[in-house]
Amino acid sequence: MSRTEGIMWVEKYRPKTLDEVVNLKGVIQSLKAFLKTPGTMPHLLFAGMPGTGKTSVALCIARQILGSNWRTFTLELNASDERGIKMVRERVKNFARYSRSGLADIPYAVIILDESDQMTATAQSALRRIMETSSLFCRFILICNYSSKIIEPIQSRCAIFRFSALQKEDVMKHLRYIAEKEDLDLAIDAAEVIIEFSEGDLRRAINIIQTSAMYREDASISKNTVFSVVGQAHPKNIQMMLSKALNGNFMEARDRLYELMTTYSLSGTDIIRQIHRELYRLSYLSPEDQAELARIVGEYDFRLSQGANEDIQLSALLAQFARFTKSRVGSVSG
Amino acid sequence: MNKDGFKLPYLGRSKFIELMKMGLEFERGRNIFYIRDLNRAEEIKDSLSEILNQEIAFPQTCLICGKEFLCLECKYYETCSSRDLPFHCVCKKCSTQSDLYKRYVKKTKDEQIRTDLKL
Amino acid sequence: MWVEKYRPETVAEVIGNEEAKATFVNWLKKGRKKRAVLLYGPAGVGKTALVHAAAHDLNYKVIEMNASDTRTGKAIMEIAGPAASLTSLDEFSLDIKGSILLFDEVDGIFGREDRGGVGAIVKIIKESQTPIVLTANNISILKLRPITNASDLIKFRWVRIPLIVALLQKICQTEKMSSEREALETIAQGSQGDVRSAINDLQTLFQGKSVLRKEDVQHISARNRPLDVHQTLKEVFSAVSPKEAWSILNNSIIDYDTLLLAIHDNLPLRYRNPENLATAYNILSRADVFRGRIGTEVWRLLPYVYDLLAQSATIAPKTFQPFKLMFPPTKFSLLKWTGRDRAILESICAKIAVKCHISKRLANLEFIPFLRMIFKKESDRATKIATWLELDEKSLEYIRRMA
Repeated sequence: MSRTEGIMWVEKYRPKTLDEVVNLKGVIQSLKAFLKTPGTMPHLLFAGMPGTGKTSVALCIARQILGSNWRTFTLELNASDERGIKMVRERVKNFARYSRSGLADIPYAVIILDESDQMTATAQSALRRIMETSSLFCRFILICNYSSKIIEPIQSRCAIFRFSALQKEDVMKHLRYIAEKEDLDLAIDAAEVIIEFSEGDLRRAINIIQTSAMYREDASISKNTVFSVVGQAHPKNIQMMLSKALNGNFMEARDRLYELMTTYSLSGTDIIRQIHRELYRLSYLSPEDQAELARIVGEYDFRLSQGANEDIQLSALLAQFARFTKSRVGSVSG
Repeated sequence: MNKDGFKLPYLGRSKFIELMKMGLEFERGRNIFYIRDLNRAEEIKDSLSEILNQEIAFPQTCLICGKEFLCLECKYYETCSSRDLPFHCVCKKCSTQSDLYKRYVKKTKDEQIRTDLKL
Repeated sequence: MWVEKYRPETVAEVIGNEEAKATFVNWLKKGRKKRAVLLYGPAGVGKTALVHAAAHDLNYKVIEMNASDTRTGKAIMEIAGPAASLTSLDEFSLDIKGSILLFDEVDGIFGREDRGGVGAIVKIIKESQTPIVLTANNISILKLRPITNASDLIKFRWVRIPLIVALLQKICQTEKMSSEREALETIAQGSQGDVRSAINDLQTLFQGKSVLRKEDVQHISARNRPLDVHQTLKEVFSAVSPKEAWSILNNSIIDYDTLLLAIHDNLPLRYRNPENLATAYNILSRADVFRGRIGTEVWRLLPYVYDLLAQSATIAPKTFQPFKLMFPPTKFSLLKWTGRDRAILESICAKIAVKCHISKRLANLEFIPFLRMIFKKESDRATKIATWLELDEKSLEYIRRMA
């Protein structure tokens, strides 16, 4: 296995056939039915939280339908990487043209479009037209987190599959499997910590265990190793920035913001989204407070989308947070 | 403040570094600060004012007689835009002379020759 | 015109800015750190006059590129290019020590007609054998940054009033006209330190007179003075009302982008109270949104930008206390050191994206944090992963540095 020794485990342990996928029984069953007669398969829409297997299943399908040359006839696109729908159309056009020549023994080429809910409604309309004009020789597999963000005309043209969050037992099974294959001793409490931190995202869980394996002190991966890895990999920058702001400490909050924007190279949108998520985890805030703060976040997210300066808008947001708690009773911890 | 520089009370390491970054220079032997980067004179004055918590005024050096004097004494204090900055100007006494311009030109020429000779 | 007649011919005759004068002469003679020097400051204080006077004193020849010439890259190269490198027989015979290439009012380079102007100048600076002197009024404009980075900078300030009075006196004597001392003082003060306009005012007021009395000069109105950038910001923040701040901003020569970022930087220094800070930032954020909508077209929104900027800087005017102004805006320095790093990070994410079937954005969020840790530990495994991801030395060095 020396060829696979130096690769990321998320790739090494990615299922290559549908049979290898352990959970998602309902989804797999339906898909297998389609694959019996691939010509009958419509466009597909996979919806679910990150790390639940959408991309893996899409790749398995491509493999199964297209055989050994599947890479040649599969186009992988990411809505957030492509600069607008024009680029998508270009790439699809070129791909379709190029792949049509070798279409002898395959029913169609496969286009996997990831993060499709990141596209604006206008872009999605254009996408629908692209899907239509190329449906003779292409099948789209659209992947998203929220199917509600996909416009209705596209939804109606796709078979929709929901990828539910992995259960703890499933993640545990995977982790044990990997530990065994990698000849690692994974303590139960360490595994539980991994499961807790990955929040149903198997990709993240595998990254954690791979990094922990490199940092373990003896033969086994201990709970402390995992804590230390998670702490270093995802230092609680957003939380700290938020708690500083909510404590009225604007300057320090802004310092953290600049750190996130420079050292970690996070975009304004990334940061604002994470702030939004983090809000609901701050247990010392009442639901009304969380809602009010979320409303403020929404306002500034909107302003950001109008093409304004990221650091000004985010600093302004932090300033609103800094005022918020001062007008409430007492101060918050952190 | 003497002709070359000025003394400051002990400010602590971080403020010291800040001031160096702003364009001040420190001469260890005589314990004097002087301004290395005159382009930033306004900022330096503001910084020092903030650090020492009082408005700082640099005295001017008279171009003609060489004496030092404060801007406060000058009749044009209200409208002057470079006041209290560490530069040259003309003191009250010298500015009343009728041939000030001639003196100015001569003084400057003499200075130049002197610095040329030094080179 | 008296401004021409009384143009200083030697360095000693240039009044004011003694330190700047000395620095410049020194620069010409020997003290050059860079190949170009940029003299900047308000209009009419003697920047250009000094260049010619110094050239005269030191026997240099000045080759001029004025604001009136077309400053496309081509035009500049055509005129200045050969001049910057040739030595002519002329120079040899007239005992001329060398040339100076003068780019006057270089902050006039704007707009499509001057396409390539800044770039061409920077190119000449890099390749020139002759010293290059540039002048400008306002150097805080972004577009000029390549030039300001490539040049030594010398700041010129308004000339002190007593010296202007002295000069006006001398002119009166030479012109065999008499004037009351108070009249000259009023003119000098009205000029606020701009020698050129003081002389012009004197000449204007003397029309049809032989004696100038102080009553004659009462009606001089002060010109609209664009203030020094630092000064402008101070005045904006210490203004007592948004209206006052607004008029200061409108009279200033700072472009609104710089203003936006400069006010942003200084807002938390001005407002210690979170209530005021939040209010001010809310307004600034709206100004920023308007600015974003303007792009290059919707200029009619510009007044709102200034309006809102003025408001954001003058919340609770009674609470104003002097503070140390931050300038130039930090965003530029932020961008400077992360520009290259961002490029490296993006290329790494692109490679991860391909190998792991995800977007670059998620590669940054989900993989980079772990890779940082993996590469921090030197090991066989780590090296193999680097090979698998096809990371070059530069990328590896970056990831390790990030850790």
